[in-house]
Amino acid sequence: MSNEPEIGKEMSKEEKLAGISTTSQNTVRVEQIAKGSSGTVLGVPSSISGNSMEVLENTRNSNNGKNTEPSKDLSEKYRLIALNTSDLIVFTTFDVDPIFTFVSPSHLKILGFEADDLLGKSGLDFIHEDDKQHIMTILLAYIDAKINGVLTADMVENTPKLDFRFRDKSGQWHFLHSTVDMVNDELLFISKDITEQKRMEHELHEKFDKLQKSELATLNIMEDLQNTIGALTIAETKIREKNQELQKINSELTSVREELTFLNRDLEKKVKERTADVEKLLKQKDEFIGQLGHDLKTPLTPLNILLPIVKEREQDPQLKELLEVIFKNVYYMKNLVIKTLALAELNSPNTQLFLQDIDLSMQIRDILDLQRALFEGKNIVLENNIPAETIVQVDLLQIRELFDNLISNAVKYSQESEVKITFDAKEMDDFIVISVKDTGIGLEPDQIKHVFDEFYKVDCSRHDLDSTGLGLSICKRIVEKHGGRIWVESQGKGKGSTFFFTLKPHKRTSGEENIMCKH
Amino acid sequence: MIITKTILVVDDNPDVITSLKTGLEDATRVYRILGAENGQKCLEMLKDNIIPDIILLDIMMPQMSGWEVFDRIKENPSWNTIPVIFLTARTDRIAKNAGSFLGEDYIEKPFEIVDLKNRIEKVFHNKASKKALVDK
Repeated sequence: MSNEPEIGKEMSKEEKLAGISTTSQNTVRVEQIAKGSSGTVLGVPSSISGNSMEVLENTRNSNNGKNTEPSKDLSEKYRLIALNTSDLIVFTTFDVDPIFTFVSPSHLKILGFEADDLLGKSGLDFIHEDDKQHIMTILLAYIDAKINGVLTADMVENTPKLDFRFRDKSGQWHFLHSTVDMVNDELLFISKDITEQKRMEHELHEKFDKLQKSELATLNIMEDLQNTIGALTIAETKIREKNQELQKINSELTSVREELTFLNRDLEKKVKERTADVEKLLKQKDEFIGQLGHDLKTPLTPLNILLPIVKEREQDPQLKELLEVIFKNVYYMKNLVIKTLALAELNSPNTQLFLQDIDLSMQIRDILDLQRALFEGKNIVLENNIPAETIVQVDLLQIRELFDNLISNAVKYSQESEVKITFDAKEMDDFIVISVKDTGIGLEPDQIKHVFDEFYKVDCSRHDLDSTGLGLSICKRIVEKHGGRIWVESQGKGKGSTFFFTLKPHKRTSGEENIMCKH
Repeated sequence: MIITKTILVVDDNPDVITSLKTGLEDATRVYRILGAENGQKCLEMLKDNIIPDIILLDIMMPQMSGWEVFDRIKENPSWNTIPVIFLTARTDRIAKNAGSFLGEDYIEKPFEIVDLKNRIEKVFHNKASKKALVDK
């Protein structure tokens, strides 16, 4: 503290280049500006505060455990340090608006300035606008404390440290970290360029930000996931509930199905029982009809044989007339019994067809031979135009019955003394169409509609004992049982009728032929 | 007229036999009608060597049915050439078919006497032609 050496008196080469003289105790003034060989402009302070020296010297002495160096040597050492350190060393006036009095070469080098650019200029001009207030506040407090002598121990120990931006020659901002100290009447700024550090710090911040953001994003995703998991859990719960509901419904359905199965089985059983009942009844009906037929036909047989003979033998005309009435009624009853039974048999589901191949032409000849005998005394011409070898697959007895009925029908409904009946057959598509044409009384269109109805008689007004009204119904049933169709055509009253019906032709398969060959 | 053919009528209804006697025998005077009221009597008559030219056989008879009688006749070598025409009042197809396939012919009751006469004559005619063929 007591040593206050005059640095300015011992100037080096550099001092000569940039001569600085001390004008007052409080300020350092640049007296001479000169250019160095390197082109660097240097400002060197002519005086340095003894206090600082002392601090530095004390530090050094404590390090070495010696205190032998003289002040003159120290001054030279500090000057060399100031000129050669990589730290940026600046002296300014002790002022709120500090003016550069010394700028170290490193300062000029790093910031691209020349000595003239800075010396004598206000430091604040190079400070970033945003940092000015802060620096000024600190400096003001420091200066104030210094002037008023209220510098706290803490302030002595920890000289102000400033972070600010300093504009370089090119206008770029450099981050500087400075410690401020007072040396004599000047402010000493020892700074480090921490731009790179700041940049890295900034980068780190950015990276950190990014990390934070990504972390945030991750957190968001996590949250989303958690939400999703929550939603899934809820959905799962709902599904489980639905499942339980479904299982309940399913079990209900199962029981209903079981019930239905049971009912169905019961129903099937009942249907089977009923079917059996119906079949039994049908069988009983058929048996009853069979028995009834037998019992009716048996007494009719002698009546049918004897009555014509008795009638013929009777000489009394009155009695003969009465016998004729009896005969007519017996004849009608006989026909009614035969036809009713025939129709009942045809309508019974138990009736089966006994199909065989027959030569239609030959069968007609046989039928006509038998029928002719019944037509004795009547002028009936029968013409068979059915081509030879017209083979049909039919139930022979039923086909005979069919022709019997058609022939007797033709004979019955003819007014002329002469009746001509023509038989013909034509093969059409998959059927053989057989026609029975007569020269009888013919049919009106209205009669054509009903002629196959059961118990239909063309002349309703007449109490017709010749006709039962069942013959054509039987014909229809027979044809239908054979899978065919029957119809009648007539040009009208007095113009005759033609009955048509279809039958299936016999078709020989190769298998049948083989069997026939074996025989 | 000379009676040339003997007809045996087997029917449990005597009225049928009576009426056929009247209808065939009296009317034509060429047939002699014999009657049997059941299958047993028919077989007895055959055993007594009364061999008819034709048998008219009813199917539905008590004790012994027409089918059974038919079997007995066909079993016996001295009787099996006698032609049989079934008389039936049955309407079922089995009877009708069996009647037509087994016997020479069948006729459904109640029949016309003319129809029966035609069938009988046809059987005789066929038998005669067969015999003529065999004789040759």
